[in-house]
Amino acid sequence: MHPVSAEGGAGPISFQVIARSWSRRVALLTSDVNVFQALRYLECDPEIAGASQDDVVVSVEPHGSCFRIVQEKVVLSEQRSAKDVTEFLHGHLVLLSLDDFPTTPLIHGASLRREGHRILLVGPKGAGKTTLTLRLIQEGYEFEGDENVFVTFDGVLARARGIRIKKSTATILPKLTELLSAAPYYENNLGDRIYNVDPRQAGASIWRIEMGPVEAVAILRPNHGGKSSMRPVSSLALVQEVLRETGLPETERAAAIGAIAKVIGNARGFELSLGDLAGAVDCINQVLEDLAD
Amino acid sequence: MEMLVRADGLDVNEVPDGYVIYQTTSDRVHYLNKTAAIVFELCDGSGGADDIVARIGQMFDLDDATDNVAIEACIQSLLKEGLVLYRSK
Repeated sequence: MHPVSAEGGAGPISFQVIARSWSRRVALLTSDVNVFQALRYLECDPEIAGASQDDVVVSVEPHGSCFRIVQEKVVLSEQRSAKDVTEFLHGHLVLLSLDDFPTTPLIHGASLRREGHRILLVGPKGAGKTTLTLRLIQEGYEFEGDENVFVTFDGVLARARGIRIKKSTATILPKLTELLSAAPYYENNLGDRIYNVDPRQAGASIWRIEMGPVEAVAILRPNHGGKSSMRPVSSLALVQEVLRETGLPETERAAAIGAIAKVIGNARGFELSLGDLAGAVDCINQVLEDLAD
Repeated sequence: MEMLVRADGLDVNEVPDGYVIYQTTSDRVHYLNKTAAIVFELCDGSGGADDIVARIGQMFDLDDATDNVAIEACIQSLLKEGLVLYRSK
């Protein structure tokens, strides 16, 4: 728990949750313990290299039968429950992140580094990105993000967000079971819990996000229950596959595709048939070793 | 005389094994391998389809009729996609 005084001194006790975008450090303050517990699902406080940082304060306080959400004296919304507050602020934080790079394409993928080399894992929902990412963290890879990566002509940049883990993932990675028992979670409409985990708690030595080149991209193909294997793909095929998992901006689409072609097209591309995790780690290790040579 | 030229409104991006082209008018992305990229580059208003087939034949020392058919098919594909078009000289 992170109780603080909202005024920095004497005053009502508030609870604080920190969330980050590239340019903003957002402090979510509330005096309601239930809201605080719900907001912890949004907690995300990595080190972000090279970014100027604006501090933004968002307060969530009971107001009649609702919770009033205020940012810089502007009422953003009123919501009925702690869960509704979390859902609203989840969307608000995503929009703040997108506002940092409004004309930049966003890849659905994970970004990891080892010995200075960056690799992206790209694949549709359910392909195994998060599971493989967690395993790679445990193998010593540095984590940047596991959901979205901005692509600019200067390189890629992971969108700051904690690792979202479904309970089913814990059965694949048993070390997670204890971690999840204390992790904040959101319960979706099907009653499934999705946990928010800081990668440092999942085994990462640091959590540092920085913009830079990408040396390798692995397109994930689920092969549940089978062996993992990897094969190289051409630059054209790589760009084609990555664009399938890319959100393009409404405007300046040509420039956005150009950025993908430049940054992704010049990386080494692989298709990873993702079966057993140990085999997948061996495949990724081999790619990174080849890059280091 | 009808000459082949590249269409307007194309954003051409080079990758190691070809071109990624964004066609603004139709909001489509095209992927050209190296061969198609060469054909596309030769559509510079200096000749028609026969000229391009002949120039590529000379460049790569091709004398097989099936190669010519493949190059013509590539030109037709570029025309069909609207990446190149005929223009009167």
